[in-house]
Amino acid sequence: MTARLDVVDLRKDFEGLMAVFDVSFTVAEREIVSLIGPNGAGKTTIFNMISGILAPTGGSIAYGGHALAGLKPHAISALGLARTFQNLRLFGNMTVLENVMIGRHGKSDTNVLSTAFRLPAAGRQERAMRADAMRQLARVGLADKADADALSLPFGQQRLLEIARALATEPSLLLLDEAGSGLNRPEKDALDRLIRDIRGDGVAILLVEHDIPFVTALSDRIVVLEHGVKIAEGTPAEIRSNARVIAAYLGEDIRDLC
Amino acid sequence: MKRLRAHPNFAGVVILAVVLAVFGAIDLIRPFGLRFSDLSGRVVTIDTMIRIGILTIVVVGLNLLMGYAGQVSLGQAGFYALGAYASGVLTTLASRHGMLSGIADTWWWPWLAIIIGMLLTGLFAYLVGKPILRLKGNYLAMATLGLGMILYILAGQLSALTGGYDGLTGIPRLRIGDFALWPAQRYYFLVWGAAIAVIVVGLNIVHSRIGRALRAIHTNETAAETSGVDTEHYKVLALVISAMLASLAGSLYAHFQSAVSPSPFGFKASVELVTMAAVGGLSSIWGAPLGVAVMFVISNLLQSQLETIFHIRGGEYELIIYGLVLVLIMIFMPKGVISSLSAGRRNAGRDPEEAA
Repeated sequence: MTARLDVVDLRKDFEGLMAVFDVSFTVAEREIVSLIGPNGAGKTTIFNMISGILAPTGGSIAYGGHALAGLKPHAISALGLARTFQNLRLFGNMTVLENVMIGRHGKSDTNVLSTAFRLPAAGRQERAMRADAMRQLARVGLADKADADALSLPFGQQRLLEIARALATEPSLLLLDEAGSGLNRPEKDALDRLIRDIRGDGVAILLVEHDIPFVTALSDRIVVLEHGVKIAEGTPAEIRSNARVIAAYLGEDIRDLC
Repeated sequence: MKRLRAHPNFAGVVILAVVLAVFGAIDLIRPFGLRFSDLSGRVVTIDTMIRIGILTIVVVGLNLLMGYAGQVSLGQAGFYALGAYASGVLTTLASRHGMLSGIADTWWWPWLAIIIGMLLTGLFAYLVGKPILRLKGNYLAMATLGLGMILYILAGQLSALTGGYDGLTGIPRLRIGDFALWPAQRYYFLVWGAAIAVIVVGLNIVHSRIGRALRAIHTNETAAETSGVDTEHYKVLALVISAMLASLAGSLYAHFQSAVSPSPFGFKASVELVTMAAVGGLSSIWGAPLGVAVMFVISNLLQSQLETIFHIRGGEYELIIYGLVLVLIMIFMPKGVISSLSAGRRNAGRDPEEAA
């Protein structure tokens, strides 16, 4: 199965406000694709439709040939799509490790009876979930924070924790919604390395990002949105010299930004 | 890591079981003519202890549903009623309707009726849970409130089945073979045996993949979904478990009273149950027995004081006490009495279970 994301003529109409209008793009296996555009361009709305939180008004989304229409987010997660959130959505009443273990939830199948009576199978799976979650924490560099309360982490580490939780679902496509925003330079460099490392393991990545230099350094391809419409698509070099993109970033010369 | 090796609450369960067994043994043996109620200054009788045990079972379920999964239920007394009436109706079939007379006289029939009641109540909760749990917050509270009221009214109106507002009488005492679990001193051991088993099951669920999923739903349903948790499934599961526990408690209540009528299962009962859960600590299984016991003691004490000071009889004033305690607890101990008890021993923000 080629795990390819196909977004075709995607449309979202919020009671007359066209947030996303006939947007099409693909993300191939192991590819890093970025969605950029000014605020209100519809980037997060597209993420919400891909991950099943919002239902599209029109168009289609397919992953590895499976149409995602009508699937709930947990079912989409089971197909190998994982995401993080622009405004962090960590489980504040849990430890760092427990947050990541939630990401392992779908990979375990102990039922209520075996947990209620503490059968050996439940204990085995619990230990396996813990070990898997620890591996993901180690990967993002948070292994020593496993028992801390999730919200006690500094902001940058909370972002990494969301990535670890997403990775725990064993995605083949990872959607990162402004994973770099609010991070300082060294943190962004570390994030850049982490994203390349994740891609190295065969995971495709779709980014929503404001930081143009960060995006152009990292992406294989860039999709540019403005007011819900795709205005350009291409390699970072192509985007840099695209007249419409330059116009969209009113006042800011995109060539200076790069 | 080390948390996993032993049952995290093993010591707590053993201590509770031993203390309760000693209380029970005092009343059973009556050393030097002492009774359990004498030791507590007659505030807590063996009767009260049985009621605390029965309601603990309901409140453990309510903690799973409200405290862990974050789904409000103002109709839990309805499920409690379903259990009580399932036992009441099934065990009086022979005497009232001349049905199943061969089976209904056996010692095991009431036990089977308890299980049938739990299964039917669980099925009912599953069927209503699917549509109802799509609602959130106040809307869910209203829907469960309505559900509880419907069940309460049905209990009164379906008189051919339920005996109407007079209720059912002549519900047999439970026995095992020829060994009767009566008088109350014996029934106490059954009720608390069941309550402790339910506490253990509750703790096991809470400290598992399922408990974690419930907590995730409580904090952020969207993030739980995108992380792979089927939130609808787990919300319905929590409702079904809580309903089945309420049903078990209802059955134990029916065999304790030997009679059931609609009055103890109205809206007031649902509010009392939520109050008990909140007072003990919603997101703690240990909060359940604590909350129930605290409310019983407070209302027993206050009721007798109200009578002597103001010459008024309990009844409606009880609800004022419950309301007042709920308001005070929410202001001063929003995480319940259990969190204040264990505050010194736990890391801030961690769930109280770890320290209990």
